[in-house]
Amino acid sequence: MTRRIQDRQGFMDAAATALRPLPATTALRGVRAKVHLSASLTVVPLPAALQDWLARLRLLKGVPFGYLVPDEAMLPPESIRFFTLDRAWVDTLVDGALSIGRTLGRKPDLAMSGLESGAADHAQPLAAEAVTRMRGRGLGLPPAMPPAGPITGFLLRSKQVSDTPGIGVNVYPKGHTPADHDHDSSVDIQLLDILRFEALGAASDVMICLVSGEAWRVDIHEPPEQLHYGIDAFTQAEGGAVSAVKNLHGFTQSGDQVTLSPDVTPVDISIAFRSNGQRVASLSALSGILARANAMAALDAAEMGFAMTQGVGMVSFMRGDDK
Amino acid sequence: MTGSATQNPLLNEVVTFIQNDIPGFGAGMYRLTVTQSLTDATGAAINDAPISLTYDFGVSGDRFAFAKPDQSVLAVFPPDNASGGYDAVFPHVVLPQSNLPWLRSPTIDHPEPDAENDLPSWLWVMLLDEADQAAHTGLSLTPTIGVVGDLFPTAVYGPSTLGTEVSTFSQAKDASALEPGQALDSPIQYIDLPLALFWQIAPTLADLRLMAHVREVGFTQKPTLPGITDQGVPTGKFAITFGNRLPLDGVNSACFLVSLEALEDILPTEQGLPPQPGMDSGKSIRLAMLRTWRFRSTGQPATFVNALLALNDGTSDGLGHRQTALRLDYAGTDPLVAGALEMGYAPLNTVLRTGENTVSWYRGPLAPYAVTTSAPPIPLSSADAALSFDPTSGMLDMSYSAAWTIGRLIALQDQSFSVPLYVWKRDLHHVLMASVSGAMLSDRLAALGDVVLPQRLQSRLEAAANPGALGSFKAAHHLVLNALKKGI
Repeated sequence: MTRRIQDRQGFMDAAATALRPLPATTALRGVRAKVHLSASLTVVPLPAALQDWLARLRLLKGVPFGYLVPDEAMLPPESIRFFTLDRAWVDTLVDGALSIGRTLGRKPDLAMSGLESGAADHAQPLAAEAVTRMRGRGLGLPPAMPPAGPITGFLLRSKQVSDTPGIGVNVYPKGHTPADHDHDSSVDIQLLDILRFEALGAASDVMICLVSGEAWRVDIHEPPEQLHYGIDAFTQAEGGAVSAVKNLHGFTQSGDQVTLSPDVTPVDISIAFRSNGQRVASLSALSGILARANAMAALDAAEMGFAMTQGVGMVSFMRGDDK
Repeated sequence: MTGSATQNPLLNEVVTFIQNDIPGFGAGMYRLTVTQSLTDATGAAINDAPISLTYDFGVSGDRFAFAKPDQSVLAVFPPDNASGGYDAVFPHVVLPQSNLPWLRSPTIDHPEPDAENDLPSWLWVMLLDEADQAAHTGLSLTPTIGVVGDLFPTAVYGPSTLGTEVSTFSQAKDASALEPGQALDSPIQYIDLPLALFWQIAPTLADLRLMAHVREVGFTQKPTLPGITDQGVPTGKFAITFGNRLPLDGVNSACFLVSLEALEDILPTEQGLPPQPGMDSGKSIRLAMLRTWRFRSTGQPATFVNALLALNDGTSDGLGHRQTALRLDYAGTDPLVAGALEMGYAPLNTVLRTGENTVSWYRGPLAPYAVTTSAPPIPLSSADAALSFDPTSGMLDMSYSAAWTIGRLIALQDQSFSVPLYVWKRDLHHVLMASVSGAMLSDRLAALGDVVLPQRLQSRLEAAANPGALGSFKAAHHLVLNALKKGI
């Protein structure tokens, strides 16, 4: 029994020697040790489920909010804050996750620390690569483009986050924004792939967005499914007489495609309102008025939908020139 | 990708408006009957009685209340508890279940649905306000909590509070209209309002055909909404159902998503008059309510754009530039502090292990600029290995130390990670040890090369000499045991 333990210790020592950072004279053994380790890693690579878990961690999922924003004054109510992800911080975070079961203490086991080092060197790039797959999987889309530079993004703290849950965002890199395209039509418009974009918790007013690459212009727009039905003017006199106007975009229909014209025509829709003074519109009467304004026989529910929808609101945030 | 902005599908977000989304089966009870008759070559029946089997099944769907209230409504407009200029908008509800408005019908009969024609929605966004309360005493803007039985007359459900009111089931003789999973004592919320008011504001059947539609939108630029945009498809459909009444300025309004199921005979005429002259307007109507929210129209613009343009208000510097970096503002003059805050650091109280209280710097992963310093030497043996000390200020930078610690804590907290990680490291250790020891053994046994071994052992020895051949430790072990047995 004693013999076996000694033998095992012998193997461990040999492995330790082999895996320790080696002086030049033993470089050959060091190379051999690396061969053993890389051969072992091809046999037991980091399982895919663990790669995904680490990728989620790299996207800061599960990291308490206080670690992201240590002081509330950094992100006051109704504010947007842009940032660049500190890769060293994230690497250290992932190393912390990989450290469980690691031999700690003043005299670490050399064989084990060699193994830990090899495991970390193996796992870190796999986790960084898996980051690009996470969002596409939920959307049924191919992985995102790996970031050319750092990962950037923004935190948005606003009542709009909870009120408008489907809020859309388009992020453009420098030199490829729609404005650049308008300026010089040979420039193509590029969108940076989103790596993570979600509210931090249900009914939260804080939203985080991480994009693959350096954000230059961020457009935040209203979600099309939440565009509301509106009219443009409504006044009701004392006696209940209604005066209502809808600025209607003309549209033309060809097959299934409908094209909205940018020009608007004010259409008097007063008679679509009931005369009982309750501000109630008869939708069927309204559809008749809107159909006549477009020289169509009648509008169905879908045509009514886009005729009544107000335009998409969008706000662009541009980065200023660096100091 | 080339092409102009208007042709690029990524940039010019396309939204498809669809008339409706008719469910394959509307909610309700169904009976499937399968019969088989056998005939011979002349067509004469072979079996006496027809062979027949009958199956009953039900299609369930939300009816009086949402089974999952948090997930059944994506958004409402105007937003809950909002105030702003809403006097020219029709309130609406966005439903992630895109066929919900057509799962049931305001009509009493259910003709075969025809996707080409508009179908009336059974859901209606009803708007009531304080002015209605003033005009109709007893009207409450708060729904009543009751049970499904309260929609039935007392003949069907004894404790019912319906009285003489009109409801979807006020003429019911029994509870057969209920579907599987619905019970007379299931809790619901309902709202009572006078028929006189109902007729003034309720839509006609023709209006209901135009009051809901489907929008199909892309998800690529959208946030991850659990259960909606993480289902593995890049587009999705939402049903939008909206109201027919404009909010009144200056009073509190309440919206109710109510069920008009099978109430076509009660719906008013186009001008908001009773469907038949002489109907008793003194009665009330009771409507099952699926969702309610409140808002106030004040005449101040409160659009999405207004809200986003107002972001970062009150944080502008002397030049009128708004603060948009994730860092603390500093009014003092200490260049050290100013520099650290500019770099996104926050001073945090620290209790040292020796019991002293001090202040340390901390910066999270979201830095206000591209950080180029490299990570502490990974793998770290402890959190303290990532501490850095600034001798000029005498302060510690805890950032990476905190990152390492929280990473470790998150990993420990999640067994779905910690257990497989341990298993992986253990397997890696075993495989590595087997590989190293196998190689060592084969080195030491190389001198035995001229000993003629049995073919089986010889092949194992060759396998052991190859560091990539795993499991060679076992092979070598066998080899040694066999060699000893033979007295080499």
